[in-house]
Amino acid sequence: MRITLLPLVIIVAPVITGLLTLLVPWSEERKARFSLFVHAFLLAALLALFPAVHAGRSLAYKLAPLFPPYGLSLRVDALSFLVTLVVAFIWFLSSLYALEYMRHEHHIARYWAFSNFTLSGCLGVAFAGDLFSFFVFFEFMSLISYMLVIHTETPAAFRAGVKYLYLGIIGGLFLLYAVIATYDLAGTLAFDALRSFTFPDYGLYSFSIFLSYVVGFGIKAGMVPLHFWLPDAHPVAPSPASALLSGVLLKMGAYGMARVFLDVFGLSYLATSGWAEIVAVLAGISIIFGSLVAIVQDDLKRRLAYSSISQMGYILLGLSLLTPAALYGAVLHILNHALMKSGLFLAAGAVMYRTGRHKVSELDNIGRTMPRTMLAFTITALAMVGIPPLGGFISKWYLGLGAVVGGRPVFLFFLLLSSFLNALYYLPIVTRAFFNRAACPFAAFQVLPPEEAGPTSLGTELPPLPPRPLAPELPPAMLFPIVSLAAGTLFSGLYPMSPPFSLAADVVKAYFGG
Amino acid sequence: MFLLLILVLAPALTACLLLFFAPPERACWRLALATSILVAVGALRLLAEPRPRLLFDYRFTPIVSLAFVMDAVGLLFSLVASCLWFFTIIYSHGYMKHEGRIRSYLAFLILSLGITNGIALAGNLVTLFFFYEALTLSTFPLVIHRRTPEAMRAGIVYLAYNLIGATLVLLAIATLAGRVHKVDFIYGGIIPPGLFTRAELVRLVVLFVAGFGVKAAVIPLHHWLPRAMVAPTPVSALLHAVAVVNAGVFGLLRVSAYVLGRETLNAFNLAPLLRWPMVVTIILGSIWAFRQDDLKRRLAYSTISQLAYMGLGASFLTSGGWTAALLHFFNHALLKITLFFCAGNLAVGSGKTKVSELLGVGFHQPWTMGAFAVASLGMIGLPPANGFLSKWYLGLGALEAGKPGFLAVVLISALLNAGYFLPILFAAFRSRPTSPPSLSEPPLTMLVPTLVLALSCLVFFFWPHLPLHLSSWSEGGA
Repeated sequence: MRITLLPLVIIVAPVITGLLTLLVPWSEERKARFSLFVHAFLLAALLALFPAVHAGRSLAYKLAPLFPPYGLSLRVDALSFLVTLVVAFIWFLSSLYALEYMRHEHHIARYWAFSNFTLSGCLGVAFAGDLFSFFVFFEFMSLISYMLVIHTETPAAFRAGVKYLYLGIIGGLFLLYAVIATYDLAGTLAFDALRSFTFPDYGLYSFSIFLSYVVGFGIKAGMVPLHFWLPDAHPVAPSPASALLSGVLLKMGAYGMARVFLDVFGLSYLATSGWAEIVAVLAGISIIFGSLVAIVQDDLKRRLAYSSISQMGYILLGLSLLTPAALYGAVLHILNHALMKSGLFLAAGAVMYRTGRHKVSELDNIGRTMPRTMLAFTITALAMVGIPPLGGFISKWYLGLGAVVGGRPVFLFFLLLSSFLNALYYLPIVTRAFFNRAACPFAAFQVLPPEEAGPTSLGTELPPLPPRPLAPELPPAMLFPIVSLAAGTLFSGLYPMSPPFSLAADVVKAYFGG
Repeated sequence: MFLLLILVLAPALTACLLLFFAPPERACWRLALATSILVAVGALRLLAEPRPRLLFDYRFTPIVSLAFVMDAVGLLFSLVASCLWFFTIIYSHGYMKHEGRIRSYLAFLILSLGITNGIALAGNLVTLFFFYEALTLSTFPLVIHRRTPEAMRAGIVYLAYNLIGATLVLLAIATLAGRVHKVDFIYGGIIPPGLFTRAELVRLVVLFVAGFGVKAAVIPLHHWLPRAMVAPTPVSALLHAVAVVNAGVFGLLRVSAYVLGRETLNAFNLAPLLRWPMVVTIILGSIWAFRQDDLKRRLAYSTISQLAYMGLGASFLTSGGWTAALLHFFNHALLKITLFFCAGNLAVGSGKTKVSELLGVGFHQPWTMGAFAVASLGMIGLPPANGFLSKWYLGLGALEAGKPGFLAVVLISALLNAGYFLPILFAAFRSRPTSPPSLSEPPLTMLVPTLVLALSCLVFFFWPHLPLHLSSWSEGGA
């Protein structure tokens, strides 16, 4: 099989899996295992692509009869490969976790089917070679992931799902305008061709296109002020799906933004026009806002969701600073945050699975009942704060460097402040888990249980899960992904120059020329 | 020539047979079904014929002639009508079990098929007008089928609006014929430059837009359409989502491209006369749809809004806009008929006709609501449903014409569509019943056409070659 066909196979395989899951009357257990097998296969297939990508070959593939009139166009370069690697890796781990976690949920087959469809959408977005294919897959992904958000079918889930869907549609409409207008101006939609196209002027029309892209992708990436669907949608999904939503789907919004900045508009154009400033400012606001609100969240998953808003701000900031170091930091953070946030969500899910607790104020001494999970959580949380030698530190370092080199040192201050705020909302969880609350030096920043503190959280309270009788040891299928992701952050921090992290350098080389 | 007989005359003959010879009911169904199959096959066969082609021409006077032509646009309409009629006959078999006067229903339904094909294949304005009027008359008995006081009132409104509209069209034709001395359809228009002043052309365009706009449900001439929802659902589906309203749009398309022509419209800046009523219709139609609790009425206002997309596309006077108009002509027919069939399924399966009653119905009728979901996606314009491509071309046409504001109109309308379709889906799949729900889907004769049509909405997203091919053919001078 020609290697250029591999991306198409990778995209189509999950769709077929999803259809089979819906239609074939296997047992749910069998369907889950089949999905897991396919996801493992996808990861392997991707690794088969790695040599070609690393050698600098850009694999392109066009399937004209599909998606007329422009045809389905796929392209693999360093950035898209990196993103698909993230997608496939996180999805595999999440599926392994879900194998066990979903056993206690309803409508298991439906979960696997729509998880596969969403996966296909994400892979299609990442591999898309032109804006038309990109847009089709992006819309498909946004739409289908709705089913993951509302999976538990609680009233809160439906409320979150409505917001998610409408905002996804609105974002899609902005993107549709931007894509059609780009075609109108450029006469082409292929990313390769668009790199050599420069927008004719800096007038209102071009600006409206830029702004529409920012709004469309900003909604998806959870950029303030378009973020308000996120704190409801991510917690309300089942935990493996939360990991996917926060760890992967948000990145697709950032990836879209990256393509727009790098390919559609181009770095020199944006530098001259100064429009990227808007994104930089909004990203800065996201960074601080997300962290501040996370501090007062008692619900663990909600706290993680606000943290995602903040962390996505890092990535968007890195993209909009338009310097090599910042871009490197942004791309690296796409990788790192995916690892970290997925690990955190899966750990939070493990806690809920085993003890039924989902509030930070209830997590006292949980480290004694679940030491390995909480150890992984600690490592991952420290990575989020940005402590060396963990992965988060490397990406933040380069982001800060990029800010200073780009002549915007104020953003370095934002990054430092945010790290401090991150500590304020992650470390208390860790200390609560392992130490008695009263003995903790961070006592002043603890979130008090609602009876003591009165209303402090800004969001709606999710109905508490019925406490499960203390389940036996966390199943290995659930523990392994959590530990792997924590190990991944450690690996990322210790060996940032080795593949796959070295791909980030390839990306920067491609756009800054060495 | 032979195909013309099949497409136009055979249905008329069948109708006469049904009306005058009063065969038993089962024979009526068989006859109707056979005729619709024959016509559908005939229309598909037309695809293989070289085009354009003059099929028949009989001149009464130098100007007044009965002419039939087969070109890309006419073929598109004929295909849509003929194929969807077949599905409707099958659907009717299940739906009309609870209604009476089957013979007259089938007779006029089949007759309307022949007349619609007559409109599609008409080679000049006079022929078009003749069949256009005939369509109003042949569909009137279908509107008043149930003979309730509300139906009779709706029928009167229907007749009044349509006959006035037809009169306006006749006035326009007469004005045109008097000066140009011919009424044929030629791509690019038949008006020699310098013949009319702008004021005269404005009058002509207004007459045509108003005249055809009645059937095309342009606001403020749309009132007959929501009221006509008292008809049995297959009638609403076919006639008022596919045939009658499409005939109005077809008339507008013929006039804009084949009578007046892009150049004339451009030179005298007449396109706004078409464009602004369309914009008003798009926005107001969508807004009014929100207020409708009756499901069929909500679909009626949605139709009103969506039809204007086609007129808007044509009014851009660009290649993208024209493609959008034809593509949406095709797509909307499929989508809307699916939606109406779903409405009929809900009425027959669960007895529900109002949006407010639909809570949880998705668990009792999952297939129907699944089809409804697919068609809703198409109406909103989301992949992987076919409506997405129409919106794409519409946007492209707007930008080609240098009017990005109209692209905003299309996008806002898409959002409004989401606003009145999504809540139906949300309500249908909320509040899962605690015990396994009983399936209450309607009989297969109703369910299978619904599902096949919903599936086709997905298929035509991936393979829209047929309407796209026809639209590019039409611009190539067909």
